[in-house]
Amino acid sequence: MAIIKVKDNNPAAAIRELLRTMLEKQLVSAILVPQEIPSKKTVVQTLVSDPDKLDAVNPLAPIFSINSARIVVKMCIDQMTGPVSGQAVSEQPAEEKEAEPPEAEDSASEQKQEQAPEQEQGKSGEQAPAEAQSAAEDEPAAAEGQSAPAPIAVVLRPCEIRALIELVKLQQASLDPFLVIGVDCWGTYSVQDYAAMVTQGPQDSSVTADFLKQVTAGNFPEELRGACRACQYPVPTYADLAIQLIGDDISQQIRIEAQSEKGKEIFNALGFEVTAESKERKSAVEKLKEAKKQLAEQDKADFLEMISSLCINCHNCRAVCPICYCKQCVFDGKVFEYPLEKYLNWSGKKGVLPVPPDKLLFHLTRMSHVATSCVACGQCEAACPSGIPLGRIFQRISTAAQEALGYEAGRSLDDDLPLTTFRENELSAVED
Amino acid sequence: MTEGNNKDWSPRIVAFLCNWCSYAGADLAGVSRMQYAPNIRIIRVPCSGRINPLYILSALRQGADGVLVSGCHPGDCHYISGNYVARRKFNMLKKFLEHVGICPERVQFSWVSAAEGARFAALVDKVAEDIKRIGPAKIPMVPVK
Ligand code: SF4
Ligand code: SF4
Ligand code: FES
Repeated sequence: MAIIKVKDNNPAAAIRELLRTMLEKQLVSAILVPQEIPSKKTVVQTLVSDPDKLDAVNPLAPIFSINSARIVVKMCIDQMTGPVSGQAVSEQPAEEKEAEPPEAEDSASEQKQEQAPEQEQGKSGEQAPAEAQSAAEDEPAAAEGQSAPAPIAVVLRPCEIRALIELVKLQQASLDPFLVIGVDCWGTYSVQDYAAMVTQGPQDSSVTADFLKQVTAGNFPEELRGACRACQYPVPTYADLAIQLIGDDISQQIRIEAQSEKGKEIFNALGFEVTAESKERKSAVEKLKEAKKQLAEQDKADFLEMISSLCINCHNCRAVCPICYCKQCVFDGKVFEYPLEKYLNWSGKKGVLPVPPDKLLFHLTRMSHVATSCVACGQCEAACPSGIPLGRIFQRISTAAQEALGYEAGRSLDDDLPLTTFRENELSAVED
Repeated sequence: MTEGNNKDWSPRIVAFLCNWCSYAGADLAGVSRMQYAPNIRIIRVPCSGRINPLYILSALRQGADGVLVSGCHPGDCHYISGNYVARRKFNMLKKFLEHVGICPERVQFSWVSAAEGARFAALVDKVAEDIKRIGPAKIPMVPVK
């Protein structure tokens, strides 16, 4: 734990400088972090490797346009399936490997291989370099220990981290290449509201600064997104390095804490002076959660009606959800294409059939897939062109499902996914 | 035939029964000539653990008023633990049906062994009664009166 001084009442700048130092010292090879676009109307995620290209970084901007866990998943696809291309890295060792077998291997096994039918040989010939590459990639790291490449820092909000943890458990992402930098979060505006505030606000004002001033004083702006109003996770559940804001006077100072071995290495290399934890933090976090509980909207939206009348079946909610994990969605296949006769049959049964017939089923299926891992980030709601309050409904159903199974999405890497495990004596109320 | 104004409405219930216990239990009820409500349509599945929540939801969407799922008693699953995992899935499903506005009682779970013909008959009667009480499913939601 260390204190980072904040200059000019600008904590975002202090974080920016911290990131710059990390890049300059080559403690990280690149940083995934949101930056403001020149008009300042929004932020975009960027992967920065040049310390001079960090000037517009603002991880504290109260805007949440994409759950970046999705980006991290995309970035580590090759980590999940083994190296696909990666020639640049492993060209040389791969060549060595390829050259090796004839010399090193015993003639008996060699001959066997040669006797194999041509086709097979061709195949194994194709596969060999790939295998050799993967072996070669593993080797240097194992042999030389410390010379593993510097990690890629990913600067994430608590709900992004929670989604990422779920995705790791769902075997869609790996934390290995990354250094997770978690930042406290008081909430965010929708992309539209944020842009409007920037446009309408006075020239030299900053939406971020105004927002921070309000929330640190305990006032929550009307425009806070529904999901953020109810959020019970203002603090990262997991991080290699946690940047802590809540509980400090952030116009003066923020704190940084190493929460893993990986984090400690970087923390030490940055040469911070170690200090004690903030005394106010714990109670401040509790107070914030309590305030959010009061803000949470309790409305009972008629979801059935909303879906049947408003949903246009665009599947945007699925596209943006970090948790929706199927590689091939059943709703994109032929399963839900019916012959005309079927339509008539169903219509005949009830006298009337709303079409397309599977809108509700789409949502119920999505729920049954994501309920146990949904992190209530509300991106589904933000993406819905029809204004269906999906965030609130998913928050409600996922909380209920997770409570029933004694699970909390994103709480820890160690809890088993609730539908992959069971206890013999539980849930007996379901039966009968 | 439209359902709402039909006094003779009687529920249609889809029953997913595991091959090793509950289906055999149903069979026993049959060969023992036990009387039970004629409202169920049985679908045999290898194990309660094989039932994807999508099947249940799909049955509801295609006009079932209720769904019954039954497998071996805890500890007796032919595949050791299929029913324990199933129990978790169904628990989750019921939780969110409630929040979505579909009466969770439309989906019921119970364990029936191959020797429990009478239990099966009583179970079907009970489920049929429950569904009758709840009334016809409004699924698929019909936005017009
Ligand atoms: S269902 Fe909605 S709230 Fe839940 S993780 Fe997906 S996008 Fe976020
Ligand atoms: S984003 Fe909205 S309209 Fe599109 S499928 Fe999801 S709920 Fe329906
Ligand atoms: S075989 Fe009957 S529940 Fe698994």
